[in-house]
Amino acid sequence: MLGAALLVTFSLPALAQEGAADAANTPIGTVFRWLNFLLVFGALAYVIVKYGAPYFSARAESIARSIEEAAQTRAAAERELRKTVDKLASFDREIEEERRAGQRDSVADRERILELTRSEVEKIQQAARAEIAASERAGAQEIRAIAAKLATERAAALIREQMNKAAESALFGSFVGELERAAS
Amino acid sequence: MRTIAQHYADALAEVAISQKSAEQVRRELRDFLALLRESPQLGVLLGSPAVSRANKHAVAEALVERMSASRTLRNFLFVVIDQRRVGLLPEIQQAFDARIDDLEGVARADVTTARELNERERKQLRTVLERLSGRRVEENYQLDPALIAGAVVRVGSTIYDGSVRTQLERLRVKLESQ
Repeated sequence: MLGAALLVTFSLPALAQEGAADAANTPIGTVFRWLNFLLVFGALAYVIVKYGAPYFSARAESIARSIEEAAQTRAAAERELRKTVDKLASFDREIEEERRAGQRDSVADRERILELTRSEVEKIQQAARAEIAASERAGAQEIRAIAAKLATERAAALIREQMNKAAESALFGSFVGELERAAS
Repeated sequence: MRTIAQHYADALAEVAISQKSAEQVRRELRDFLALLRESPQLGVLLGSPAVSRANKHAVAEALVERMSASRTLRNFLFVVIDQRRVGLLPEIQQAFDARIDDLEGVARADVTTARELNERERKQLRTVLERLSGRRVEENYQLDPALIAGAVVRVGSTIYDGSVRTQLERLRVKLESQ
């Protein structure tokens, strides 16, 4: 129904022109051309208003939503970026702290190892000194033992050489005398 | 704590003392032990459970007759055989000697010297040992030239050491410790 009306409306000026070519240059023709223009313009405006407005409105809403979403996405991205930047900054701090802690631990470990080494060296030195002293004592003791053994063996040999009955009797008498003293 | 051997020794000592034959029994027991040492099979036979009591008694009887030993020893051997204590005879003999010595007031002295002592020296030593122990002393002399000179006397568990060897040993220890 609407299509038929539009066809009649748009075809009327053409029909009018075909009938009278010269009539178009008349005022009435001018009026009709204006009317024709207005009709076409109105139809176009109607169509645009009827169908374009909702389309553009929906499109605008869609674009607005997209813009809003884009803004939200951007805000989210910016938040993430800030977080990431903050995290990176904290990473830097943590890395720096770890580095410092590592340095501190390293220094402490070095000191500890040095102290341990000093202690071990001192212990080894003490043990070595003790061992040397013990060896010296043992050596001296061994020398004394050898000297004592040689001396007493030599003394025994001399006594055997010089022992005679009188000396033996005297020694036995001395022993008996000691027993008598013990008895009394 | 008294041992089983001491119980047997005390019983034999009581009988021997009551019969006034302590020295005789001591000698007979010593001879019988010497016989056992010379013939180990004899000890095995007397201690074997495979040999009857009568046969063991017969063997002991025969030995006692051959040794011309007393009935005291024979009866004692019968008791020891019956109680299966033949293996304890060496310990019994030691305990018996000690018990008899104790009852008779005798102290035994082991005297070791580098040379033979003359009678005067032996008498001197005996006199002083009797004064020391308060008992009559019976000495057992041994020679040991390693003593160099002097003497070592053991009475019971006490040792009196007057040897030159020991004096030199003490000197050596003293020199070592200086």
